Amino acid sequence: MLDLITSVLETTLRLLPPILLAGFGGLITQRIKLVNLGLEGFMLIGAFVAVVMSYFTGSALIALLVTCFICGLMGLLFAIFNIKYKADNIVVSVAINMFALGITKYFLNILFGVRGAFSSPKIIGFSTIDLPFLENIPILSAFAHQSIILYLSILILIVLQITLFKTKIGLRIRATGPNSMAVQTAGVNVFKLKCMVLTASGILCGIGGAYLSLGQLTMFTDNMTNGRGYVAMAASNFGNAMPVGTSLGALLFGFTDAVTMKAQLYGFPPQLIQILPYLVTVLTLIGVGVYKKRKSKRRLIANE
Amino acid sequence: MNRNKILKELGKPLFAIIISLLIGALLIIPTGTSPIEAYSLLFKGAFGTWQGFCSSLAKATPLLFTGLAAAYAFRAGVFNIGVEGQLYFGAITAALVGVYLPALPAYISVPICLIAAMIVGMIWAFIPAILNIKLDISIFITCIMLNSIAQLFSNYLATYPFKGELPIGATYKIGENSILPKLAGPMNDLNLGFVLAILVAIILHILLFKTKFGYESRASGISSSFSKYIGINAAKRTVIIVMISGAIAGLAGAEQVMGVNYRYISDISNGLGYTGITVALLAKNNPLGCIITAIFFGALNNGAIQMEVMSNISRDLISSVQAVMIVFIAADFAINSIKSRKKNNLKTKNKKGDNIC
Repeated sequence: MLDLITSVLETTLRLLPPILLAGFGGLITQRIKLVNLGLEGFMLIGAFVAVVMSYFTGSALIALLVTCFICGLMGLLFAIFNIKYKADNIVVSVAINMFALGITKYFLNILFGVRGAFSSPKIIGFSTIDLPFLENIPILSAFAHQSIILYLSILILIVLQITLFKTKIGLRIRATGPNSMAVQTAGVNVFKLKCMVLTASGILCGIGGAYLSLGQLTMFTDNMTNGRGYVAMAASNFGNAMPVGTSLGALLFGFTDAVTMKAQLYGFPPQLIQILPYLVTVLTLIGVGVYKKRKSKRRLIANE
Repeated sequence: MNRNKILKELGKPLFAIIISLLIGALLIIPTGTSPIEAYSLLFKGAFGTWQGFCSSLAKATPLLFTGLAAAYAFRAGVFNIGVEGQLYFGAITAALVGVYLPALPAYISVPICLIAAMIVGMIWAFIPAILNIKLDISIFITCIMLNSIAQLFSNYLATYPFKGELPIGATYKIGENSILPKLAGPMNDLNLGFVLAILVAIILHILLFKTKFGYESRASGISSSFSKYIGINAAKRTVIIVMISGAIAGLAGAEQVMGVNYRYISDISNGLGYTGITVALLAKNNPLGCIITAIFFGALNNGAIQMEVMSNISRDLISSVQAVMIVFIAADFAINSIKSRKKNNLKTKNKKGDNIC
């Protein structure tokens, strides 16, 4: 039993970083009242760029940096099209996700002459942080060989929490959502601020995507994000756009993913098992919705 | 005057098409094939022969259904991206009813299959709508989740409980009397569904532009607060609109089963619902316009397959081109707004000194 718990925890932690990072990407855009559903597309492009760069340069670090650059650029483009040219953000999101799916398939074929999946020993993955002294302790041994990206995302969580709640720029970001006019009046360039937030969102998704293709298995497969971007959005909704809450949401979804993977080994019909994360997402959203509604009702009664 | 207006309306979609095809051309260059050759292969594949043209129409049929489903919801201000999932459930329903319905005359069994698909599509569309109204949950996210659930569950049904004689995840063949007749010979996929889709487009056009309900839907699409003033129950309207949209999406799935594959095959849609959004956007959510844009995309998809066979360019290129098209249609580069922007710039220039922070 203890073994099973440890192994599920280990898998959860392995599956956590992409959802967590994209969740942060969703969280900061939610703060400026802009629903960025392009998380999925950003991640997919990130995963692809990371594999390509790692294959050609042989360095996971360079791959990560280039991925951040490209995904940040895409976030910036999203911002420009959405804010300057007034394209509906959901429509742009749909387009980004569609574009990501098509372009990665297309270039996979051009660059490597394959379809569906690409893997090669030349692709260098991210290294793990090994903590051998944990190996023999039950439960904690799940942490013994986790990717460096997991620790990076925990670091990002801390930085994000501090930036949002303790700095001037965080205050501006938090104020832009409820009342961007007020921020504008205070002399802040809201357009620049929004561009910055979306660029950061793109970068976060890019790291998450890079982890998907260079974290555990060093390979790229078509549509390898497989809805994780939307799940990340749900995690951010679940956490009410708070960094810690979003992390809890991401943990929940990572856990569901891990259970799904384990259950497949025991011979359940794969299609039914794969439904689980989506079902949990919908049910969670319903739960959060009911909770929020009750809370606002109570507030109304209290005000009377 | 009127001609000017039409030119203006057409200008932007044409601009978007040209820009995205140019970007597509840039993407073709690294393959070593000349873009002109690739596009001419594509064009020949789509329109070169009578059979090719009919195949383009066949490819356009499901896109017209999904495009109409999306356009109708967009017109009313609801972003129903759940078309894909509604299509899946429509398809599996039509297949199961078609397989297990006792032998009835075609004029009874075909409508039964179609109506069953519509009802299930409607019910599946009802869920995100009601969640949106009662609990204020983003219709977009629930729709995406429900899409995956519908696809996986339909695949499960076709792979386990209702698996047919084939070694893949597919149901049995539907009864002879539930088949939509072919229109262009036995080898071509063009079937009666195309006529049906045109009919739905005309009905939707009448519904939107000639009835009170259509007027109210359009009003709530343009401004929800305005429609509240004139006494429209926006919540109820949203539910009805999304359900109609879901019914049409269900028809798209039924057409794929009853007219093309004659059985449900796992992953039967493969993105038809999402392409439908492009069809709707390109047609500016006009039902009759959707007929033209659906044929355009049908031709593009059909031509892309020919292009892939004849050259080394994969058909995946076309979906990227479509995505670029969406962005350029959604963006507002309106030429007439440049003047006002200049005016604004002059005004803001004086204030810019304050923008130091």
